[in-house]
Amino acid sequence: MMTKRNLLYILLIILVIGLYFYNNDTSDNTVIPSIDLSSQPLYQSDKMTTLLYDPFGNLSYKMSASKVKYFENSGKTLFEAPNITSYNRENIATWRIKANNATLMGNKILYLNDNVRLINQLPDAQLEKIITDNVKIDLKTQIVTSDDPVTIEGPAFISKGNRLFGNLRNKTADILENVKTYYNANAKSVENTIN
Amino acid sequence: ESSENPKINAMPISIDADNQQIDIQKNTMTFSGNVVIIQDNITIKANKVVITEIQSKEDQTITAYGQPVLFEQQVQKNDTHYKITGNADKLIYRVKQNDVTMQGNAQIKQKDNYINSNIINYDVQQRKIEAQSDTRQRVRTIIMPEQVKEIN
Repeated sequence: MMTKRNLLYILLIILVIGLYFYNNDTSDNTVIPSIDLSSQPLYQSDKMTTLLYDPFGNLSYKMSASKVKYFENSGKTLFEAPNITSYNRENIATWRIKANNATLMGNKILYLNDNVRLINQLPDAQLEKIITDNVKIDLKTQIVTSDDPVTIEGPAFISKGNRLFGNLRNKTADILENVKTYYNANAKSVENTIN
Repeated sequence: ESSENPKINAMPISIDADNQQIDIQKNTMTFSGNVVIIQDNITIKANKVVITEIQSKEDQTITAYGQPVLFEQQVQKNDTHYKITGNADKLIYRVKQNDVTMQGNAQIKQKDNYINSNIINYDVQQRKIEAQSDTRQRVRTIIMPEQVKEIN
């Protein structure tokens, strides 16, 4: 039967359970939303130049960009409007590489995207320019690869094809699929045969 | 009569191939796989083609390898139109000098007139043929008399 004491005990139990739930609820929404650090760049700068040296201390790449973001935990560096110059061991500029943006993975692999141009800096070289959309460059081996349509221009020829495998160091460029080349000893007339 | 078509070597050359390698240090371009070269009225089909001295106008040379290399020239003379075809294991085209050299089982044909030899030299502009044999194999030429009048 419901004596006053039993009623009191039930009330107490209800009170305790109520308090318990009450505490849990409040503990959830009082948690401070933590900032996901990995998505924020460690540093961000405008108009910055990054210099990369080879193990012997020779300057191998100079990378300037309008905006640079470095993400520490992923080791990724994002460049906006990158303008990269590569140097050979005699410290002579060999290639200038431009694109809309680039991602450097741990100072080793460079991905360039949109409107990528590799321009040969050596005078009267037979291969002047490589133009494509996306390119991956292994900065150590200077191997350049792309799975996109690629155009290669030289004073005496224009070549178009798919997929590129190039070596900036020993200056070879392979176009891997269905190549179409217009070649002419006096090259200037090659321009108009294309368009 | 040879001046009636423009100097062929100034014409641009188009080259289609499965793939191409450009080597700047050696100034060569190598095309491989179903290579088709077209320059004006000349077509060359080969498995592999190497262009050397690409930077020099004078001595750049196109060397084609095939089983065999096929060479074809469409000739238009007043109203007559005929084809000169050739094949060989190897074909060397010195562009500036308009000079084609076919080496190894070389044959050049115009309608039913054949020339078989080890080496055949052919001037693409004057359409002059010169066959030599550096091995004991003799040069064999078959000329159909009634067709000779049309050729020249």
